[in-house]
Amino acid sequence: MIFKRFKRTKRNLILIAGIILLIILSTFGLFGFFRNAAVYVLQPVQGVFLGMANLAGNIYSLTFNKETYISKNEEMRSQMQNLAIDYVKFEALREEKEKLIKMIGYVESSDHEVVAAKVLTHVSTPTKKSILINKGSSDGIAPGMVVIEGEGMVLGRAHEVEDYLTWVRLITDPRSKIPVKVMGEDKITGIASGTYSSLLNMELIPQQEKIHINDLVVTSNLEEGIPENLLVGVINQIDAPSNDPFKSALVEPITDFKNLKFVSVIIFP
Amino acid sequence: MVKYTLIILAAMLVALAEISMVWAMPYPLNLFFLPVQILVFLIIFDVKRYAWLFVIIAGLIFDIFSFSPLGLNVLVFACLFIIGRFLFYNYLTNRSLMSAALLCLSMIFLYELFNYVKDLFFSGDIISYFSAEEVKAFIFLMVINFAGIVIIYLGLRTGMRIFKKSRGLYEKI
Repeated sequence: MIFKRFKRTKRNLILIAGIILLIILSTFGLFGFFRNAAVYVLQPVQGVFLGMANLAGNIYSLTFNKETYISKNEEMRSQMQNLAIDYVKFEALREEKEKLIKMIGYVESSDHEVVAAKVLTHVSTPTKKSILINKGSSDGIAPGMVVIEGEGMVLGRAHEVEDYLTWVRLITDPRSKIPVKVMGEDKITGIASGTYSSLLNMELIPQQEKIHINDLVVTSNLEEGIPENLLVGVINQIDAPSNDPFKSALVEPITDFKNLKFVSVIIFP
Repeated sequence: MVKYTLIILAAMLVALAEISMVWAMPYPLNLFFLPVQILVFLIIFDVKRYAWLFVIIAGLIFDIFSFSPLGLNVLVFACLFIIGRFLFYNYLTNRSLMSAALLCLSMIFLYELFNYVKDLFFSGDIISYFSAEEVKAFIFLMVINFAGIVIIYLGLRTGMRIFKKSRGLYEKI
């Protein structure tokens, strides 16, 4: 009986020792090929599971958040009308800008090199909000690079990068911080930090600067590697305590983080 | 051999389902932790070899997608399995629903503890684990996994009653 128990314990210890050896060898960079091969082989299965999760998520949202969707729809309808007016004004300004650029022979420098990637999974709890994408350091991605959706809606920044995979920390993650400004107002800058909810907190806005609800918030060029004027969100609520030199605002991201399929990573040298 | 191949495939699917499906579900449903639930039943059914295989394969898949050194999650799952077995055969003894639930909750608690230690060593920027939101998330984690184990246990028992084929296994729970 004692011998049997000793034999069993010995077997367990050998197994644990084997696992520890695996960890040690792995920290020296071995098994990289195994990892990359596994990622390549398992990706199609992940796609199927992610599709199922998105479907389940949509059903869940429709069942439990029906009222919220109805009121949100009304709100968005009125916002769309305002945006249509703004769009007309914007188009006029853009045409004017293009004419000026041609006149002074200015070469636009805002074209960034981007890498398109597929979303493999996403995590969203109050304390962690991330997505996993199928591109990594072999495609030129490095930690800190900005990840966008579509034409330029900021999603987050590359956080952990491997050869063929990258974990992206979303802008709504409580540990995320990104320099921002109010669109068209270069003086109104601040830091947008993630919160435990789905909103961002734009902090350090000087008290004397005027901001309004529904103002668009975009990235500022205060940090290297973050291109200017990428869309972050819309101001939802303003908090301006009279005894504080700074005020803050809650910013609602425009992107729907739940149904992301493809994203782009902005590569900076 | 076929059985082992099936277990390897099942372990891979369970780990991938957790990473790509459960994690992507809306909060708090994404707190459901499928590998631990499976591990609980592997302990209850006393299928040690299959359990070790499951621990190694599921752990490796978690390692690949969490960017931690290969083997770290295997070690966490292995410790969970050993401690879970010890708890079950020394303190919980019978195969009732409450035993399964208690075992599951203890293992989830231990997994969170191991994760905390792992984050301390491998990730420099952990946020406060004692914030109100973190405590709330922990309570949700326990509730969701308790509900999960109850549903799986009852489902399994009913299923085994219907399919008399698995009678030998059924008698264990």
